[in-house]
Amino acid sequence: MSDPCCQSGMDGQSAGTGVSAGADADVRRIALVGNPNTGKTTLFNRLSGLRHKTGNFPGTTLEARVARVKAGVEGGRDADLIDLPGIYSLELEQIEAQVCREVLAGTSAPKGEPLGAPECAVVVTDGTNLARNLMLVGEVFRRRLPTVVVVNMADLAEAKGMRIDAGRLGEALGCGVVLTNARTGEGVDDLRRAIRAARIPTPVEAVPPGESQIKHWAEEMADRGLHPDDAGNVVDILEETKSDRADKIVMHPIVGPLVFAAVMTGLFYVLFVLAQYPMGWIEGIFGYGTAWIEGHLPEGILRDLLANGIVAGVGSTVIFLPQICLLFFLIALLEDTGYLARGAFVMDRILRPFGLPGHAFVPLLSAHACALPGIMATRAIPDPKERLATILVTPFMTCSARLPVYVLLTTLLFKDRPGMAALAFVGCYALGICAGVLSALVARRTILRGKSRAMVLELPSYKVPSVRTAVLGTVDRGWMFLKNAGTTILVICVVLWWLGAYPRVEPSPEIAAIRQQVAKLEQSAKIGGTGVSLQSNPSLKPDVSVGWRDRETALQSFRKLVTDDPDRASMYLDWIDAVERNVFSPEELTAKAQQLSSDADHLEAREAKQGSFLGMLGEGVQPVFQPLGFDWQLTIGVMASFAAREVFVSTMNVVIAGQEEAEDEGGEQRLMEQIQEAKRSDGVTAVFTPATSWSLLVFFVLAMQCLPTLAVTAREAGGYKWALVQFVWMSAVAYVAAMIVYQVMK
Amino acid sequence: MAQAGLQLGSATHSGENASGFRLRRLSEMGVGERGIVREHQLEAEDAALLRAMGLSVGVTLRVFRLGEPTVVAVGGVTGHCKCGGLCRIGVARRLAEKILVEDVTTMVVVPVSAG
Repeated sequence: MSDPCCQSGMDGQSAGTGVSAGADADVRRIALVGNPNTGKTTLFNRLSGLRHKTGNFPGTTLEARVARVKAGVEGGRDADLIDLPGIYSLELEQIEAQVCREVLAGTSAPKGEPLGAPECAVVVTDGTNLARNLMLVGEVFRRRLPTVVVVNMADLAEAKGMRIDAGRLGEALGCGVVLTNARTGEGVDDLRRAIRAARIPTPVEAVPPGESQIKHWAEEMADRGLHPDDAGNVVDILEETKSDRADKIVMHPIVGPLVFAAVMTGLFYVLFVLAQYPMGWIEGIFGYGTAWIEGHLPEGILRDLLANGIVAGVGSTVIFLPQICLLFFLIALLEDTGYLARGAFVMDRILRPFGLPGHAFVPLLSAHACALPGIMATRAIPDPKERLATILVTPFMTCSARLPVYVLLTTLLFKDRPGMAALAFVGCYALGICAGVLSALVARRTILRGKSRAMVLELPSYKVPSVRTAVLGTVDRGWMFLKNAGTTILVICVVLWWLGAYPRVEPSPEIAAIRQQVAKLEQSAKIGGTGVSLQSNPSLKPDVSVGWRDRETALQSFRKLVTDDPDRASMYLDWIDAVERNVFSPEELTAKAQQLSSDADHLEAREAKQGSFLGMLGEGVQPVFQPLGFDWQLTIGVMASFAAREVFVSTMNVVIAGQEEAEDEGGEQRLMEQIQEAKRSDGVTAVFTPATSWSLLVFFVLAMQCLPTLAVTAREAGGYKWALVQFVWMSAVAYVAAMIVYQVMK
Repeated sequence: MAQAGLQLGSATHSGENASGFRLRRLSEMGVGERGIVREHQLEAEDAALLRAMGLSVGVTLRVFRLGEPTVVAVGGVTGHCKCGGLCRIGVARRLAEKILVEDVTTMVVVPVSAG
């Protein structure tokens, strides 16, 4: 073969729009095309390792992955490898096919990449289903691009008595053909060599123009590519396999959903059990970070911003990273086994009456960790209206960020009844799911009316999942989440911190008085303890205590006073009694000083929160939430949690107890008690009555309180209009439901 | 996937088509039975997707499951051993109702040489 690179480069550009094929002239662009389930992505990972970036194809929600592959030892140039979406045909009306057409034509490229046709197309085929896969090969051939055909899973085909001969197939197709096993990496080096030598195919039979003729062409090519000894073999490929037998159980109308429920329960069990450890570590690290900043920086705005704005804020989001990673890892494994496709059909029966397709179940499931990956996972739904409906209702699912709020409220409601609290917890999940599917039904009957696309799905045979692929996919998702936490969420945290911390409020006279008392107590504890109790006695002259350095001198003075001042002898005898019983020891006074001092701190934090912009906003908006039973304190909590739900708990801690989190062990209990006993402005009514707690719980299950989710909805649904629809609808549902609960229960 | 003799909406029940094939709806086949796809009444978009997935007029299939979904294995043209796959295609029942199949369960598959 002559060196085809130069020729192919020119040809690639002529097929494109005339725009340079790349920013770096020495970098080739290679597009990876193939049917779904051919192992295309596994092969992409084999070629690129971890070095790839994930983005979007412009104007679409389709994920684009691009990797810079270094030139091999044999020479050649670096290359950018683009993993195109899995498609069955380039000629379909689906958005995936459209993207593939445009990328191959050079009129579209992943975001941030220059336009220009690829210099090489690698078509990945499934060796066990060669004829069908070769139809796509034929369609790519029509683009006149240098092409390499990869026959993956050729070993499986061989096990079925169909040995594929790469040389013969290559001769028939007139291009490089490589047999690979993407799982083991076998053949990947051959593929690299073949890519370098790629040329415009010259098949022995030209690809016919029509879609029905291409099928016969593909069959003919498949015939020619078979090992000569196997050409006469007839293998009954329609025989029942183990997979088919398994499907009888897995897709059984009654057993199927039970299996599905068991698989999902197992998945969530593993998720929550395993994720709690790394979540604890992350919490510890961020807690340590906050403490370090507070201990090493001088008091002031910067310290406050770093400790309470950035580190605490980002920490509260990053803590969900283990759950998200583990969820994606488990789903990737499950998908790789082939079960998820069956699950989609099982769920189709259940979701279809609500206007949602079976594909929607993975997004809805993922949303139980976090709505962001859930919404991103809706890309698997082919019908645009169904996809939009799924995006809109996905945030109804109970995400991890709601859990701290559920914990707080169910604990308040069922203090010593963990069984009931657990039941309420399950109820919250159920409420979210019901609200989601019913909302989808409403959407499909109104703004997203349209015929449902009937479900067609390939059911790949069951196999042992590839941990490598799952890990790589997980790293990808985890990184995306972290980037989000480092940008959008960081900004939100800082803005929220600023709203909550400014304007600064001067301490009230009440606090000043407490601080004075604290100073006196501390002073008295220093000089011997006794004086304070007497000092705090209003009938005593303030200077009496001065000079009592210890118990003995105090007792002597009192005894003398009994004789010197017989009219008040009984009072002095009381004092002597108190001192002898050691009622007011220095330790006690110190403890009392600390208690009062912390009371003052909390009061000050409360006043600061109340006087801040957020507090003003809360008080201003409170009348709106009056019918739901929220006072100004709860309103501040709800307002703050519109940025991110988990903020509610820390806001409540600050507003009610004046501290973000428990300061020591056992503090959790005290904090809970403080929250439970917190009073409204009238000083009588509790902030958290049962009616209010239920109303809040329902509100948090249903309300759209997550700015990052709205941002992702706008991106995925293709406009802020949909984010607005989502926000208004969810907030309205939450408001009405919480109001009904409160009005019925109060 | 349109072929001569096909009239959309005409074959509302199983019967004989213009070419003389005894046709049954895919949804009315039995589990384990084999058939050759002869006609369909699918909408263009669904038909294009199914064709790209390998389920088109002329292919042999075997039914593995009926109902929702109907699961079939697609084996290419009768006697053509190289074209099928290990994969199965799940099709919604309402699509299966629109695919007309000639029952070839009793046909004996005989080896043929390549080409």
